[in-house]
Amino acid sequence: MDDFSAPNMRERVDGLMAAPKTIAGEPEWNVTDYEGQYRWLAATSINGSLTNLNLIVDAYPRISSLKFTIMFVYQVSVCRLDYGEVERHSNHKVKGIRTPYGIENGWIYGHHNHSWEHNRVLATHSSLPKLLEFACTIPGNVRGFPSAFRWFCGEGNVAVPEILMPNLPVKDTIV
Amino acid sequence: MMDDQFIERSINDLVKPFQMEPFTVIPTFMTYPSNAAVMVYVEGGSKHFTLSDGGGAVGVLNGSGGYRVDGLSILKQHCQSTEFYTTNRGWISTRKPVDQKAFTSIVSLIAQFSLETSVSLLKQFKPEKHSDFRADLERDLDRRFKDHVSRKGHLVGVSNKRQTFDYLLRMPGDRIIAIDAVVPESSSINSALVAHLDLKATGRRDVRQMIIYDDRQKWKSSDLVLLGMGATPTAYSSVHHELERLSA
Repeated sequence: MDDFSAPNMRERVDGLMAAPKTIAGEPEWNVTDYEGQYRWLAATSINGSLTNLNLIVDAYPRISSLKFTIMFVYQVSVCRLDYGEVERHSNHKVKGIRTPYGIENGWIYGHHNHSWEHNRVLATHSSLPKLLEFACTIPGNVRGFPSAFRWFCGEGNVAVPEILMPNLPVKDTIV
Repeated sequence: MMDDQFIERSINDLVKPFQMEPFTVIPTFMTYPSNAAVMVYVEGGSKHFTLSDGGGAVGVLNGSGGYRVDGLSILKQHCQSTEFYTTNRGWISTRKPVDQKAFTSIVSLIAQFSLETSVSLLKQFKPEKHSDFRADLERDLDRRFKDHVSRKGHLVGVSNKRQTFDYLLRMPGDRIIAIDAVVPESSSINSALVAHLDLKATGRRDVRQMIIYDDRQKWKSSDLVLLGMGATPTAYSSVHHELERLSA
């Protein structure tokens, strides 16, 4: 084995996800190019060293039902929670890929999570998948933003002190 | 015998429209490349409607982490010369009100168009390769030299100042290899250069020096020449052989 070979992309993300992380700096909400969309972006660090793994929340306060996305992005999104009653995701066989344990084929109605654990099979030695094709429902007790955010951060081994906990932006129009 | 009722019930459940004020949302049978359902959002009165994709196409791009891509421009370009346009929210919407006669046909068209647009958006997303040079190097050194690696180790230079090096490798026979990892930024280059020049001037025979640079990034030749004044710059991709040689 070549001791000096760089780890492959899958192992790299495995390592980043497994390591205990903290939030670097003080993230804040910003408007994006898309009207009505807000983004909270936090850099993460491991033992004080900044990583390229960012924790991102996208929020849509103008939409009448609660909708947000929380994801870890390392070049691409490596795991993502899609929160919203109207969300729908279809798990199905992906050519050349063994369906991960814990994934059931069929539709998921409502909130769901695309975990790295389930989607790492889509990564190769040199690249990460642009699409997280596998998802599963989130636990029944994880409801609302604070709960979903804490749960997601726990799954991703990120410690978020109370003072840095984001609050979803409030609706910015009267209409 | 085929259970027609089951089929009817299942299909009705799947594509049954639902309310999400101020829209009526129609789920379709189609899925985006992300495997999310394509849905059509309907607004309007009893005879004329505005249909949109609810941001589904751009949602695929954002959900894949492609938030640095200028999705709005691509959407606008994609909608040119079609019966759809892009709203400021990034939603694909019908240009003109749709009447009852054309309604279902436009539902299919906008769903298909949104799906195709999501594919175009994804094609424009070219993930940026991160350089984790320092982390990679540190892991390499840990694997090979284990307890012999000291991080941020100090050695005294000819100036009598304690210089800090990224790594010190304690080798058999009390030999030391002083290593700095540099990236193409002036602060990184300058700090490594000063430390190595000061150490080099001591003429210590028990110390070997290495400056490892990330050759996955672009470097100016002049910077590499400058680094060479402190210690021979070694490209990260060939660090394995160089360490073998130095530790022999």
